[in-house]
Amino acid sequence: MSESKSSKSSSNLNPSPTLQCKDLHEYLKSRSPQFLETLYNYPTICLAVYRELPELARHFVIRLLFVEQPVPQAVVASWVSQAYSKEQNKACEALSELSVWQEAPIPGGLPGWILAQSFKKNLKVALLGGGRPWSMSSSLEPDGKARDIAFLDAYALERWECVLHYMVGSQQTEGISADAVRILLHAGLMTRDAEDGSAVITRAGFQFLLLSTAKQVWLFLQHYLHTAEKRSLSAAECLAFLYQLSFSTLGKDYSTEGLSNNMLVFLQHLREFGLVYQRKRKAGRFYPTRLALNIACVRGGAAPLEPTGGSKHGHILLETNYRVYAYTDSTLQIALLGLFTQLLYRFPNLVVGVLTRESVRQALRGGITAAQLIHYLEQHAHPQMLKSETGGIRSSSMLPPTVVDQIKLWESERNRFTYTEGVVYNQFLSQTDFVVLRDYARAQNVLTWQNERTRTMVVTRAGHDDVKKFWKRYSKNS
Amino acid sequence: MADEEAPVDSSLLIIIVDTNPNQRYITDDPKVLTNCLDAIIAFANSHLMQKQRNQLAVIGCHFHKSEYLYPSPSKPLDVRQIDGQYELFTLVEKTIKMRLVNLIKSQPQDEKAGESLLAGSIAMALCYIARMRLQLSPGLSMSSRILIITGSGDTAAQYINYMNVFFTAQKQQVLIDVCSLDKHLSLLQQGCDITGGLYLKVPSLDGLLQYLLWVFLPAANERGKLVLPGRGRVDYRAACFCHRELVTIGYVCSVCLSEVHGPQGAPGGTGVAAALTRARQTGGVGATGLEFIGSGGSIGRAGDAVRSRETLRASDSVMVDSSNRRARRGQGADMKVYPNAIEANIVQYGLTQLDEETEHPHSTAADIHSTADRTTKQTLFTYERQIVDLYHLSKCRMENGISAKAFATESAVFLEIKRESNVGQVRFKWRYLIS
Repeated sequence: MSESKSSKSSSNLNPSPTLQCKDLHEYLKSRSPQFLETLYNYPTICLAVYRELPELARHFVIRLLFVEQPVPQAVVASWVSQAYSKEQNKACEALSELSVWQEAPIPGGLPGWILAQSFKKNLKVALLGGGRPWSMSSSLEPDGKARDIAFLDAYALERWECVLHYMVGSQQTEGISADAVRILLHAGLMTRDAEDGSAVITRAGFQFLLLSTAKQVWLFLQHYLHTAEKRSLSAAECLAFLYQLSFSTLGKDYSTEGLSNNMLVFLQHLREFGLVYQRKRKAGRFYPTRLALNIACVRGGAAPLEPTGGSKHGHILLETNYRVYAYTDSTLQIALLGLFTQLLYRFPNLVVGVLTRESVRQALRGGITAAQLIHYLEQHAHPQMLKSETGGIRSSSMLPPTVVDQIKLWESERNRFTYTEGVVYNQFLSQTDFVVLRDYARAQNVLTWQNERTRTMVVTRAGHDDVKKFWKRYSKNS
Repeated sequence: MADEEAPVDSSLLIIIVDTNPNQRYITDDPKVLTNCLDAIIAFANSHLMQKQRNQLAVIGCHFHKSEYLYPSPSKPLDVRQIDGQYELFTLVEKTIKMRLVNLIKSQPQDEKAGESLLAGSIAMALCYIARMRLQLSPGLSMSSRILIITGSGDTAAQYINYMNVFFTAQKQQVLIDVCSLDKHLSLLQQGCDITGGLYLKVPSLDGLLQYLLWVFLPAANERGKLVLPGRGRVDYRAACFCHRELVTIGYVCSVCLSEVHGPQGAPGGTGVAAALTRARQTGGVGATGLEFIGSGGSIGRAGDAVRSRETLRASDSVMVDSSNRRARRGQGADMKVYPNAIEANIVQYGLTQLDEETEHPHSTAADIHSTADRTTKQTLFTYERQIVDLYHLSKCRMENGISAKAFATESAVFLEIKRESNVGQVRFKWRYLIS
């Protein structure tokens, strides 16, 4: 008998890899506890982590914030009504994962929780004051050429679109630095063309383009932080600085005084992506833009603070007859729309397309998920869509339910296979051997498939060791 | 990325701080106010800390006016960080403190401190909420609540204003929470109960911040998940319109719904008795019922001739409507409002807690009350003596076989029926007999 292992890598299991965009919680979860420990020395990070927690967990923290001794776990459990014990477990888990609290025994021998010292201290600082001011807030002379919010919005948008435009058509290379390109390549959003070495967009890159701006920025910065460690920039320091920016006030200038050299380098990079505005490199002051402020609301649901009254608010109308009307003249937006719609007409300020099975399937084949598509349409929905009521039914989405359902159906019709990892056993010498092993596997509940005529069976990966041991024992005895 | 479900909306919290200098805890030790204020500011900041989109407003309520403490109606202060505190929180703290000083300085020096204008502040808060809702970008939802922190005593002088704002808040789905620093406040507690908010009387001022954080920090949608103090018993006594005092038994006008404390009427020519007298003088009683406006002492249309059937109908429908409204408030209390013009004086009755002090010695209601069985709940009808005489009364009793007691006073007849009896039947008979 031989066993042929079909060791499928995870990419095989998931034929169209989708772009993973972790939120802060997931990002921090994947880091080491030591890293978290250093992070919690920054009040900004504590504040950001606090906001990322599930709602029940937030109440746990605030209730424990002024308690110095450990609190019995049973007491914490009694704060939540019985019906929501599941959510309570989730909240406790989240707090443990991020090492916001630790288990601590109580003199009576009961298990208890205590908030991590540095987290507690610095959250208190952020909430109530005390400690040292954040690095960027030394006092400044009033700026003679102060910039208003509209200017900053326009600036941020222009800078960020520059990066996106580069991704779509890399012919336009001015205004983007080698560093940014390196990050895009590192993130797998772009790849070097085999022939001429120019950067071209990947499938992941297209998915990236469909994300909301806040998520794009956050994902981009995540990869920046990864590469930052290689460039001897401390990720913790960068992250803390980023969150300082996100907790700053829009339209206000901040001082670069007291920033370390590393942070000044980092600031220049942020300036390039449009997260901060600086008139001159040596200006001594900078203005955070909305892009920086929105880092803190990457978590799903928390809609980013969009510039109010801007024409960029939303431009897509989707009708129940699958027609898509997009009021835009941006080639980027049109290219994105073209990913999943069949474009029909084009006018100076309007593009009309239709969602067809073919066009959507083409997008799905490219690794874009239905959820991403729907989210993109929601994100860029025209204000008129937001106002319209869906026939008195308050659905979670403002898009026509028929279209949303159909897109989901088109996706699920592609996923008719379910993949299970397994090990094939075949070429049994005798029928009895086969039957014995098959029955054993079946009894262990690890048998996936078997065929008596060809004497082939498949057991799950988890059950493989057990079945193999049994086979060794069995063949020794016989 | 399946993290797009469960829309996380924002929450707007409006804190109304009673800054009246004649609150007991301030007169005892003025320094306590600073501590309380610090606690309130810390609480306000923790609300802002919950979510990025959370909004906050603080209203200072004084005896001469109410004013926004935060956000400042004029240009916001230019605040720089002084320590590790989040800039926004520093701004909140500085703005509130600065504007509170201005508010206290602006109080008229020669005037004696009166009652805090809490009802006015709540109305301001409701206006603010309405404005914020208008400004909300489409597709987003916002839950709003009002927290009143006060150490003032209970007073019924603003009763009507209170009820107006409470019902408006209920209609606007705004929760009203009340944190009492000193005495038990039955009127505001009614407001909490009407709007679904929480009421808490803080046992000691030392741990004020902890009480606030534990009880009042969770937003409306999170409250179901956490174990929070229950409603407790709510005292639903209404205040009479003539004296602004809480009464156990009140009489409700069928038309304008004003409540008076007794059929004998109040001094100063207001009340039922006065209305009756005048109506009789002008000869317009008949089956018209009576109208009177409680507090002003002016009598509505009592002098008009017999009202047509149509007007009666119209007023009936008003009654039905308002009886629903009252019924919501009257859970726990047995309040019945009958849509019949002749039954002008309807008795609110049946509160489990009876306060001897609030009863008016001169009212007949009190007399009846003393004879009535206090434990069994009853319905009382009152009729004008001129229309009904005791003969009819006894006949009605006999024919229905319902045990009832009748009382007659100089101006009216009262019929007291056991609660279990078929009231509708009695009423029908009654009308038949009278007509």
